Amino acid sequence: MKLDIKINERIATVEMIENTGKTFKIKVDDQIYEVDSKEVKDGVFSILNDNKSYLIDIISGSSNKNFEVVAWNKVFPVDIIDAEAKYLMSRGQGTTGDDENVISSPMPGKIVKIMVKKGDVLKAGDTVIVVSAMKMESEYKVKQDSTVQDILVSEGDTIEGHQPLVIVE
Amino acid sequence: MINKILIANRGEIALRIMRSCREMGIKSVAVFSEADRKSKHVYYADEAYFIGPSPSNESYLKVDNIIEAAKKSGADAIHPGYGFLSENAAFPDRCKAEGIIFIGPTSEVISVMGDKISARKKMIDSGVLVVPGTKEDIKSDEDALRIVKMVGLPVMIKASAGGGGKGMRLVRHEKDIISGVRAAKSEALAAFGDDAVYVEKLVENPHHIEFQIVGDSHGNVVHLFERECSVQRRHQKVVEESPSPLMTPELREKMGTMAVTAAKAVNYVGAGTIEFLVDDELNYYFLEMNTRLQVEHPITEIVVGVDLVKAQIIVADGGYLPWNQQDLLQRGHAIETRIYAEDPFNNFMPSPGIIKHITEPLGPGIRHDGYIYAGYEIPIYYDPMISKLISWGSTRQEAIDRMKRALFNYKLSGVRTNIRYLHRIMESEDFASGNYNTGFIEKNADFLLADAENYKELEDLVMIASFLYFRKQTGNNDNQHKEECTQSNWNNYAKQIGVNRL
Repeated sequence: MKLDIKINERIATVEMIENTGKTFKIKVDDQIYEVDSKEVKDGVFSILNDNKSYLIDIISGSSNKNFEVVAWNKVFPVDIIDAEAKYLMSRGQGTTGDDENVISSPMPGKIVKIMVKKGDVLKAGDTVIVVSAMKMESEYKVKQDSTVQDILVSEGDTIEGHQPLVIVE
Repeated sequence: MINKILIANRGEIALRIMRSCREMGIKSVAVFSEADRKSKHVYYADEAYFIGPSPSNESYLKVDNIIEAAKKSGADAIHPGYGFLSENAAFPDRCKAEGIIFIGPTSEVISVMGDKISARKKMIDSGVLVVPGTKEDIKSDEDALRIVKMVGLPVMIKASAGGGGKGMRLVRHEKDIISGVRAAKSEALAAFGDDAVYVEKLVENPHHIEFQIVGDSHGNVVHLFERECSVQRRHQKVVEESPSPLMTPELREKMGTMAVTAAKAVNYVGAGTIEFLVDDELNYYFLEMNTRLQVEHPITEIVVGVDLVKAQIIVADGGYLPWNQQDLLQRGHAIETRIYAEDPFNNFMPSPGIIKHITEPLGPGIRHDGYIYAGYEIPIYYDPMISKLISWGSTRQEAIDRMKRALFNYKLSGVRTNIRYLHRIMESEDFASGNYNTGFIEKNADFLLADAENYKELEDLVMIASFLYFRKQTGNNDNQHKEECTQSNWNNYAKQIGVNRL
């Protein structure tokens, strides 16, 4: 099995060379690692590489092909680029759902204020919506001049992280 | 006699208080909002009462609901913890009227010390050193100019009812005096419904050092030495330590005595904290008094070897302080770091969510005051602090080394945390040398957010883990099933037992 995996700007080819039952021989680009990996809990991997111990934690993202992976309290955004993802990319569709026309909040919270109405014409940098979480308010702005197509939430609503809030175009 | 205490709080501090109750054989009563049914304090307590919807102004701040829960449960006393109702001046009187002991000072003390102008007056009258400035409200523009010139630029204009950095203006130049006063007044009016402001001389990049005090109802007050709280981000403490690296025995003696004087000036009963600003020349000034248990109280408990919550309960019940001043000594060094559910690498954005995995750090010299567990969802309604990590060492260096080790061992996922950021603070040269003041975070901003190491190997292993996880999820998993069957010793054992029985 062979996959392309993306972390930030880096895309590496990861390939299973051998599964001995005790260890995995896996190639990342040109480097071969022989690791002892055990999933101690769903998505939590204890990996021994050259007897060095790592605890790596995989948190599912918006699809089964992107994760947030935490290791030593650092967060790595991971995208799996398989054949299907490559096909979609070649057709000009992203794999990550990172759509500039959808305003969303990366964190769950509560809608404090909606600053726009459907049909409003906005300039780049205009604030669209204010979300509050844990006593802190965050403003979400449009990145370019656009028009409000749809508003999917109301003031006072409790929202999930990455939930589409406002559609602009 | 206190036999049952209602804890009018949530999270780690509710648990902290319940632990002392349990040791004293006192029953504990939890209260919880809609969002908190699954919070650990609810199932740790002996009893728990629902007090309303998730937003705190409909539950934890609702005096009537809390009193009702106290009556239903038959609690003799209420411990307010910190935050929420702990410094609400009306609450102790209400408790008294209902025949319930409030574990904290009287309403009168809270209102005198809660209002900055009245606190300054009281302290000046008692001979406590305050930051040079005024003790009157500024009423007009002429007042403002005259007073500021008298105090001398640069100055801070502060709201009398203030807190949390609101209603505060720094004025460095004469031309900004009137606009500064006006801005502070309007902000104070909007935030606190009171536009009284006063002037204080600016102490540049001061140290923020506070003294723990406890008083009983028989006129005894002791101090339990200092805590250094200069590592602050936007007026929020991030790291605290005790003793302060700045302190000398002479200064400690003088400031401790002054803290006791300040507490005696208001006949203080309970645990409280006197906050001081200290400049680089070791001049010190009273800043304010916190009339409650502080978040950072554990470092004092560890260095002095006391239980402050037990002391609070004893004195609230009319008992004598468990110690004399000469019984109290500092031993070794303690550091506290506050773990927040926030992302320092994304402008400290709060990060509520479900805890997926947690490995709490343990081992020599480590205390962890927390309340979360794997599967717990951190609610969006309350403070982002999820736990406090406290290390103790026989020397400051050992306390730092232990804190670094504990932060490294603290594995928490599902939400973003500031753990790496805290580790960077421990690694910074200014912190290591103990040579820092409230300008620390700003001065070290780049260092604290930078990546310390080369992550190539870690990144590769992250890819490998992701690869294995994806492979499992998609069922492309050559012989995992077979692996599991042959590798389970329990299965082998069961088979053997089965055979033996025949």
